[in-house]
Parts: sequence; C-alpha cells; structure tokens
Amino acid sequence: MELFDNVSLQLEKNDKFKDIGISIRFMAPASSETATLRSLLAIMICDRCEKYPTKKQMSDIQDCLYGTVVNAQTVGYGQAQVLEIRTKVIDPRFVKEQNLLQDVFAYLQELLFHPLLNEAAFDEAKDMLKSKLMRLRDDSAQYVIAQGLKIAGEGTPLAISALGDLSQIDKITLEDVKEMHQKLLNEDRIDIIVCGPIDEKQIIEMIQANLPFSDRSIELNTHYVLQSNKNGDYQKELRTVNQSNIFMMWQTNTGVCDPDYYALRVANAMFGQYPTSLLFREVREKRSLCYNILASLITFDGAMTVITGVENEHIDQTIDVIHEQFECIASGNFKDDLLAVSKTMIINSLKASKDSMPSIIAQLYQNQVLKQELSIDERIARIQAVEREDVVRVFKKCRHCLSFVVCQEDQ
Amino acid sequence: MKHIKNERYHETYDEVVLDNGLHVILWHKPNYEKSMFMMMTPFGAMDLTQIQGKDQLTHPSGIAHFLEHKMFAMDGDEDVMGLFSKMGANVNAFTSYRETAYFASTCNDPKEPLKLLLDFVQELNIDQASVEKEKGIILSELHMYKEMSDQRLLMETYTSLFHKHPMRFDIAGEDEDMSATTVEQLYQCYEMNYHPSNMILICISGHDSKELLELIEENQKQKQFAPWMPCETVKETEPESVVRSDFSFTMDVSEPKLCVAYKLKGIEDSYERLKQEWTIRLLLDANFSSLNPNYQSWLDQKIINDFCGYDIEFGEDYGILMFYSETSKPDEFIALCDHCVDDMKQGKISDAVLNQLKRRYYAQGVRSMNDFYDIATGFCRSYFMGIDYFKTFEIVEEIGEQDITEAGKRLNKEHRALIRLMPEA
Repeated sequence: MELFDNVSLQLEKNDKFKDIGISIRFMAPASSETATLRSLLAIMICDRCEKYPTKKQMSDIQDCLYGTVVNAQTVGYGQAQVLEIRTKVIDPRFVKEQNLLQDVFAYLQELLFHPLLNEAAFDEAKDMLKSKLMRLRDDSAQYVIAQGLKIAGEGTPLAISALGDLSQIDKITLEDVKEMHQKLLNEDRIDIIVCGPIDEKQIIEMIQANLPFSDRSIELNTHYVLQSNKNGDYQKELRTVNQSNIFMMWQTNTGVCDPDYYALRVANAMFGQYPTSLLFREVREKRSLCYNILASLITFDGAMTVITGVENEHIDQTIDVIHEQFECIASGNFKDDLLAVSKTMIINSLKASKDSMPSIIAQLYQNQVLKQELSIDERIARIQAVEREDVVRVFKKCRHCLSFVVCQEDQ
Repeated sequence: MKHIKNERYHETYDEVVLDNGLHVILWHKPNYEKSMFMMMTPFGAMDLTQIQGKDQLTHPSGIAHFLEHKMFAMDGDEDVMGLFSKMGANVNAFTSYRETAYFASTCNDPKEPLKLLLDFVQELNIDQASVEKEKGIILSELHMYKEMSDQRLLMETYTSLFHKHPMRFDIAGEDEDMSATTVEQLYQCYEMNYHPSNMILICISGHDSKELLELIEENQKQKQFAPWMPCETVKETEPESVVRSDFSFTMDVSEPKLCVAYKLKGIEDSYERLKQEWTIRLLLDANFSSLNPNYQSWLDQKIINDFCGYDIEFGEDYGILMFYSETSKPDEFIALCDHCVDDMKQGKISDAVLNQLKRRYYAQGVRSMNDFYDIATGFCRSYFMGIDYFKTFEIVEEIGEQDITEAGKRLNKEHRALIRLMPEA
C-alpha cells in the first residue's frame, strides 16, 4: 500500500517465524559524491540518538527491547543507492511486556528522526568508516572484487562503492550529513517492509503513529545494462599475499527486466554457481587449482563476475580454464544433465527463500522497485521454461571486459 | 521413542536410539519448505592421539578435516555433491576442533537426500590417487585462511598459548602433515570414529517424522557394522605457562591488530564448563562493552575501535580469555585488558545489568530457533556434551551471585600472551 506519494508499506504475515523483521529502505540516485556521505549517515543513525545520547543508554534500551539491535547498510541498486535500516524484534508472544512492538517503533522513530548528529559522533563515524574501508582493502579476496568493479565499471554506477570512498571522508562536514539526513527523510523514495507473526492492522497503526513521513516526488532509475570501456583487458596488482585472487567480469547485455534474464540465471548457475557447475568441476575438482570458485550476477547492472583464489603459479592456467568453460556454454558444448540439474538447484533455492526472512524481504522489495508482482512460483515457472538454446543465446550476448589479479610480488 | 515438547520455545522433537547405536532426532518444523539433516561425530582437530581397546594411535594434524573432504568421494565418476544436486539438495560439511559434521538440505522430497546423507557418511571410498589430488585443494583452503588477517591473528594466538595441546595447529593441520597424510591413515581414522554408536543424526523438517524414521531404520538395517569399541582421546599434560608471551608478525594490513590472551585452567564437568563460560561472558559484556560507561572514552582516546571484541572458551583441559582490537596504542590497550580482568575478578555485576543481559540472551535463544543450522549444530554439540539442548539456553537465567563470584576466582592474569599483527614496513 502507498502511505504517501513514493512511500510504500508492504506487510507479509507469516506465523512460522519467532521474530518480526522490519526493513525501511531509502532510495536515491547513486553518485560518487553522495555514496560516502550516505554511508556515514547510516553509521550515525544506528549509533546514538538525541533521546539516548550515550552508547550505554543505547545498549540499555536495546536490551530493554529484548536485544532489538538496529542495523543500517548502504547497497547499490544499479543507478540508485539504498540506505536500509533493518531490525528484528522477538515475537511478542514470547515476552510478558504488552507494548513491546509499540516501544520498538517508538525507538525506531528516535533513531530515524532524531539521530545524534554532533561533532563528536561525526568524528567517531568517520573513524569507523575509515577502518571499515581499510579492512576491506586489507582482505585481498574482498579487495580484488571492489577494485575490479571500480576498474571494469569506470564511468558507470558499477564503479561507485555503496560503502563509500576513503578519499572522500575528510571532505565531508557535519553540515553535509545533517543536510543529507533531511533529504533522506523528505526526498528519498521510502519502502517499508514488515514480515513475521504480525497483526497487519496493528502494524499499520504503529507505522502511521511513529513514522510521520510525507508525500514526495522523485524520479528514479535503477537497473541498466552496463557498457564497460574495458575490452578483455588484463590487469594485475602486486601485494604481499600468500594466495592470489582472480576477478573476471563480463557485461551480460541482458537486463533484469529482459525476457532473457531467467535464461541468464540458469547459464550463470551452469557456469559457476553450484558444485555441479563447470567451473567447480573443471577448476577445483578436476585440476585441484582452487578451494572456492564462484560465478555471480550483478543483476541491476547487467554484469557477471567470477572470483577465485589460487596459487601464484596457477593464475594463467586458471584464467584459461575459466574462459574455456565460458566458451563451452556459449557454444552449446554441454550436457543436458548440467542444464537440468542447474535448474533444479535454482528452483530449490527459490523455494528455500520462502523460509528466510531476509530473502522474503529482498523479493518483496525487488518487486516494488521493478514495479512487478512476480511470485516465487512464477519465478520458478520462468526458470523451468529455460531451454538449451536460451542459455547459449544469453552467453553469446556476454562480452568479457576484464581479468584483474591481485598476486604475490614475485609473479 | 521419546517425544519432547518445549512450551517455552514452542518446539517439539522425537528422540530414538537405533539398534546399531545411531542416535536420531526428528525435529518438527511445520510450515517450512525446507528439510535439513545433519550427521555429526565428536571427532575433530583436537583428537590427535586416540586409544581404542589396547591400540593407541597418533594421527597427523589436520586428519579430521582431510577425512571430511574425502568423505565426498564415491566410486567411479560420480561424486556426492553431484548426486545431491540432481535431487535439488545442497550438501556441505565442517570440521571444528571438537567435531565433524555433514549436512544436507532440500525443499523437495527429503527422503532421497536423507538416504544419500546416511550412505555417504557411512562409507569411505578412497584410493591413493584421489587422496593425492585432494591435497592441492586443501592447501588452497589453508592458504585462503592464512590470508585472512583475523584468522591468522587467532591462529597465532593459539600457537602462542599452547605447548602440547592440539589447538596449536590449524584445524586443517600443518602443511607438511597434511601433505604426508596417507590412505591408510584416513581409513584408520574413519574406522575409529564414524561408527553409528558414535554419531548423531538430526532431521529438521515439516515432513511426517514417522515416515522419515521408517526410512532411516530401513536404511540402517541393511548395513553391517563391527561391534563398537569406544575410542578415547589422549590428552597430554599442558603446562600452565604460555609458549610465547609477546609475539609479533607482519601482514599487508593498514592498521596494527593486537590480541591479549590469558591462558586459564580447563573445567572437567561439561555443565559447569558451560555455566562458567556463560558467566564470564556476562562479566565481559558488563565490563568490556558499551555497557561500561567508560567504553566511549576508550574509543575517543583511540585505544580501541569498532573491531574491538572479546571471547571466552573453556575445554576440559584448557581455557582461553581473549581481547582484541585494532589499535595504535598497544600499551594502553594491554593495560585496559589487565584492568578489565582485575575488575572481573571482583566477581560483581549489578542486578540491573545482569537482568538486562539475561533478557538479551533469552531473546537470542528464542530467535535462534528460526535457524535450522543453529538448531542442528547446537543440538548435536549439546548431545555430545551430555547436556539437554534447551538447558544450554536456560543456563544463563540460573546464573546468580555465587556463580559470578566463582567465575571471578577462576580468572587470572598470570599466563598472558600478546600477539601483535603489524603492517609491513
């Protein structure tokens, strides 16, 4: 339901869960200027608020609400960026307090509308974001992905890290954060999703009473099809590491709303999503080159990536084998069994998503963003309908953009 | 068959011991699409020297983990993962210091995946060539973990603390031991530890548990097992002192990380062990988290940052209390940890803080019942500890002044190790 213009509420009653999940998502256009700012704001919203201005008071109120911890994260959705506030509260059936849910919404109101935005809290948030970004850089398996996306996505939304950019942090002022906070409340598109053992009427009343948003007008674009300026490039970076990490990226030329999207999901699964995939069989099982290897889709950007960690001397061989396996699918040189088993596995995970609150919330949100009403059963039917020629066609449309390697210095 | 209904958590399960000794739990989860099955043996990376009957055997380090990898091999071209996938099921496994577990889940008919889980865990099928081939994969796994700075810091902490205890080795073992592991050693290890009498199977599903049980019974009837000879792990006497009181190493990281670890005595009785572990955790929460009003000033002075944390763990023959953080003020951080241990030794938590922590952990317990994996691992572990699963949550509520005083007495700063991870120059 639309609470206001561009403010929606979705409720999913499900009594099998023992807690209630609340997700509030603020969406705005992605830009490298605002990504770091929003990332800082996300940290500050969850840190402290005017009513509970110390960490001790925050811990006290969270424990009073039975360990209701509120988290915030920033995520890219193609050309848009989402700042999500998420919390889970124990099903009130398990506690004596009558007003637990009401108190949780009141607490959310304090955090969202009155976060503690002062210099001390701001300095702390900056330190925290710097540490997070440096830790990400330190972990070469994570770094290779972040840096690979930056290189392959140069000049596109793919290159914008939703977590922010280290070099931007010190340019931001507290005033900028305050201004962004007001924008978030008054201008962003807002979607609220509540899932679990709920009384729908009661939730609507609580949201209306505690989250006083208003009408807003905003034009948003989300999904797009990447056009990378890299064309089969190979780049490497030297670091002191024990294991080399490989990142490869293709632009898929198949958007999330393209009729071919479900065929792409199947093709990606056959390529490298499951233990039955060509990459797992050929790179890990047959040649013992790696422990982990995974192909995944960046759905809203029209990109596909492969990541793995190998010994230094195996880098070239591994990249060659990955290309060979890609060609096997693109040329139709695969067994029917692989197609069938990959479909079965995707369908199994779609069914399993009905048991997972984060997956339920993610799917409701995706439907909202894409203005579609696609149930899990319909998604399953679309996967089921994918044929051999569809898989070949979508892989033929893919173009390899980049291989990026972080490796030992003697390589 | 024993039927257990827990009113507090609104959960029910059935419990059966089969003729061959296999302990079976059928946990009811109505309205869920998914079914999950887990088989666990209490054989982990800690069990390096074992006695069975009159035979004493010392395994190479990392053998439990190596065996876990090789359990997935089958005759011919087929492999276990491929077969599960064809059924629309996922399969995985893990090895810890104390146990090895195999688990499968599916949203389709659970019968075939359940049978396959029983079949592949109850048969080892390997040869020299397949064992050799696995070594490359395991080496890659070992190197992957060594590349993670947090994992490395933890591993170096264990190595600093223990002279003889197997926790000084990585779960996957030393590179050399792993590379030298033979087919024969793997078979020996398997025979000693994978008997049904030494394993538990838990099935968490919305499907009819009677049907599942019939399937399990039928499957087990068709298999022959030698009589079970209980197997015991030989524990070496571990000195009270630490191996390295101050150890530094470098990695390609931006900020120095520091772990301050205190070696404590183990606790023989499993119930007491769990209770003391919980009590010290509450003391840590009260003293070293944002519940301590001074926490903010530690952050402000940059003695700690958001990476800061702590942990307490007891075994029968070891105890570890550790604090860690990224910090460029190591001396201040060390002083802070020492001071915190002194405070905890007083054995005091205010009633208000104690009650709020009990509330926090009660809710955490209830909410963990949403998660099949948490139920399965938690249940199997508590079974091998000989403690009722629900009791492992309720134990927190029993904690009173006397337990806290006792836990305080257990702490000491005498055997301290500092492990410093420094950025490369």
